[in-house]
Amino acid sequence: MPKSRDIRALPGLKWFSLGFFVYLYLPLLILVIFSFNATKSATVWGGFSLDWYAKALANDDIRRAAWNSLVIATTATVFSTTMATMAALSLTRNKSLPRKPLFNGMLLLPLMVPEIVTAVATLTLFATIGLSLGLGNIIIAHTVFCIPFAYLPIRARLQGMDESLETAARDLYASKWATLRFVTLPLLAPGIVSGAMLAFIISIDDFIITLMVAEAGSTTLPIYIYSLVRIGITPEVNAVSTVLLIISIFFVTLSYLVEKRGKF
Amino acid sequence: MRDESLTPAIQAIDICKSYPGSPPVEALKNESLSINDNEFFTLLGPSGCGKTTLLRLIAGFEDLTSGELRLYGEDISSMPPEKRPINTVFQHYALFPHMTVVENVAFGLRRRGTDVSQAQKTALEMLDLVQMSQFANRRPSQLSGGQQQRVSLARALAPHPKVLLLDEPLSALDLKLRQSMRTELKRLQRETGITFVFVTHDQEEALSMSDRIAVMSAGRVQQIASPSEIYEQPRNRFVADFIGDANFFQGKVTHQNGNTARFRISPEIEIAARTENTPPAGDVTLFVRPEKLDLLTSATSETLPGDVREISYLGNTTDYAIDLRNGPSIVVRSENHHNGDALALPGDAVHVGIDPSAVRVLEA
Amino acid sequence: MQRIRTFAGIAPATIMVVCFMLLPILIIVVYSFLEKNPYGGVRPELSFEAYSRLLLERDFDDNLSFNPSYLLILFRSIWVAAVSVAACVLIGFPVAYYIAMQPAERRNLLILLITIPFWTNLLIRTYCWILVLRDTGLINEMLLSLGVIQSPIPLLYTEGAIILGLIYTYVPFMVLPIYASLERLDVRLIEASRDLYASRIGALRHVVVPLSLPGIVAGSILVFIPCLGAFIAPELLGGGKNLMLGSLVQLQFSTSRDWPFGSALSVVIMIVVMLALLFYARNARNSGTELVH
Repeated sequence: MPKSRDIRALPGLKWFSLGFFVYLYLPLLILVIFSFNATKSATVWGGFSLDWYAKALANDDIRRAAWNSLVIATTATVFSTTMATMAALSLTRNKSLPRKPLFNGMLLLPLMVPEIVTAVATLTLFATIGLSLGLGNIIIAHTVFCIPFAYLPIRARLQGMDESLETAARDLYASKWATLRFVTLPLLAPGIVSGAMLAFIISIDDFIITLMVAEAGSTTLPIYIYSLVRIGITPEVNAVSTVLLIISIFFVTLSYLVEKRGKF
Repeated sequence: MRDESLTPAIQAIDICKSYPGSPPVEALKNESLSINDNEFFTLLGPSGCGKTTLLRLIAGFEDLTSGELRLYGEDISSMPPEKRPINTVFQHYALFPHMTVVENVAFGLRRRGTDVSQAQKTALEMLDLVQMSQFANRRPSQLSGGQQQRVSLARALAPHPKVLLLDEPLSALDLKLRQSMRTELKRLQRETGITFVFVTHDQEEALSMSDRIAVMSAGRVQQIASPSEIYEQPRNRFVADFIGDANFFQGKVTHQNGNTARFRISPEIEIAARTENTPPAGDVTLFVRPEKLDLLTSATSETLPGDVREISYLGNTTDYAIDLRNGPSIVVRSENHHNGDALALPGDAVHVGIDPSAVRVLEA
Repeated sequence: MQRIRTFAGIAPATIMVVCFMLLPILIIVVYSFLEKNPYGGVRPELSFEAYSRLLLERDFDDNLSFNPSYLLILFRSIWVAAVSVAACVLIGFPVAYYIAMQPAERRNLLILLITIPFWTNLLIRTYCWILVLRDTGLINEMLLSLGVIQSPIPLLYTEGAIILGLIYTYVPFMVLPIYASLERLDVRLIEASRDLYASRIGALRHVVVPLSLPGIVAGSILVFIPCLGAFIAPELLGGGKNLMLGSLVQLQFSTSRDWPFGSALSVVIMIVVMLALLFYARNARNSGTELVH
């Protein structure tokens, strides 16, 4: 093997990084492997089986929680992505909008507040004004929290977009709306899709905010998993977790591929 | 009915453009100019001189701070870009990456309400005009820079605008391609009969293509004239310096005889210059192009003695930097003949011949 | 009319964030200065009780005495967060450096591999570590079968376990910004430093690290903020034994029903976070001012 000629190379770096990736993925791998375990142990291998998936699937509580999670995540994604797209468009393209840094900072605020504080603050607000909409409460809280995650990739895409394309459309007799419809939105689509997927993952994975805000009967999948883990560790938890894990990995990878394919 | 060929295609009256800031940036200062119908007009100047601002004002991408813009006599100052029958060829082409070549070219026609089949037909004709019809169904990203340039031209020409604006369209191309595109642009302008307004910082491009050139600097038009007039009779020092190479001297008139005046440029040196009108009494700037000077080995009555300090070989010509005895230094450019041997070497004593008709007096 | 059109695009998102993020935080700040209602909620009377409880304790005779237990929780939380940040820098920097050295195609793949766990469920990622660390977990089983130990060593429900979980959760936050600054780093600068007699380590110390400092600082802030308010890792890996700020806050709004105290704790967390952000903003402004290293 030829010796590395890279001037930046440092000895041992490769092995360190390899170890890092093992550290990152080994625990997840263990989780997935033991979800297929035939015995009740979540750590000692007893043969392959899909029993725990069948069991989880037959569990009414899990099905209800999964359905809640899906409804919340889908609604919050639609709302937050729509709002984030509108906001990103006006922050990057509306020349007459004043105080852009302030608005930008406001949209990123949910990222700067520790989640636990967001959680108890939202709970306090809902309790104070007596808002009780069932899943609606969670949807509102998730929409707010998802806005920056949808906003960032959309804004990045808009900033990377050559503004002369929109100028060219105006030059070629397209009105403002026609420019938005025929040029800006089609070019922005990968950013919007990517933002929506991230918002979806953030919502479906959220735990602390949901824990504080959820009313009885509004259990989501993460909340249900948490309650199971507190009781004891069973491969059923592994099975449900693996499903959630696969959903997340699927969407992240898809979001990555969409953005990559949509490169200018 | 108005005869359009007599009305200027573009008329700018006292137009100003400043950008907010502290202090506000004045990109264009109170400028007036007119561009004739069916003319290849070039805005030439260094970056930041206001040429692109002027182009964007004509296109309607920016609003005037004050003044008025007319298109064939009609006031278009507050008309949005999509209403102006003016199209632009952008510096980096700005082709829509999500549309095919033919969709790009048909875009303007479709937005103006032409039906699909007619727009398609015209677009293909336009692609034919720029020899790109075989690429009609490709995406812009599958084309080379030169090909994208041609598509961009076809797209801007397709709606048959009254004026075509070109914003440094050749700057991203390599040298050979740039040269062939010059001829191509000139041909398109002749064939379509559309007024072209071309922005560039490249003097060679400007000189080779234009009917008239406006040289701009610091937000002002310095001179508008034909290419040869700009080169031979620059109005001021900026124009003389920006286009081609020049020797400048400061001097005072010592005496005048008919249309020839003599100027003292150093205590012991005087040179003669042809002048149309009486030169001002104070200090003036004289200028002479290096290739109009003669390098001689023997003295005559009208030569100045000097010593060669440095020579630079430039291929078809050679530049000789000469220190005039008791005077300023001067550059003489001489064509290389035969074997390309230098006429003189550093340290040689030489004589510089200056023809009075080659020396010009500049406005202060 | 013109005004409505100007703000139409930005309004929905802004209103949403203001009403359901900013307003709740303001309410919390107000509640921290009110008296508690024993059945949950607050009574509208001004009180500094919530803040004084951070330091002082009221005994049966209504005398105030110093009680360091909450202060200890605060310091422990800051300490755990700080150790996690330091560990993340030590682990994250070499990895980011390695990734930045790879050819573009592999670089993107490795970055994707870093981001995938970051986007997967926090709860699940923490739960994985229970499987690894507990008495019948992977590590103990392995050590037992190798005969290194005779009985399982307690790994789970320790402060070390919490820190391990936090590092695992948040190290991507460190790798990404450091990578971003290293990727922009001009290789010719390293070549120049080597040309000017710097060793491999010298180039790293005097060129690479100083130039990637903005990334390191940004990463530290990004790791510090969530670590400080962490809830899942202390609950699951610490077993709730070593109480930390996040759990303490959550307790006040659930079982303890002491909203003012929970609010006051939230305010303290926000103040610490704001100090960290201010530090970052100052650092970002001043970076690159040192002339000699």
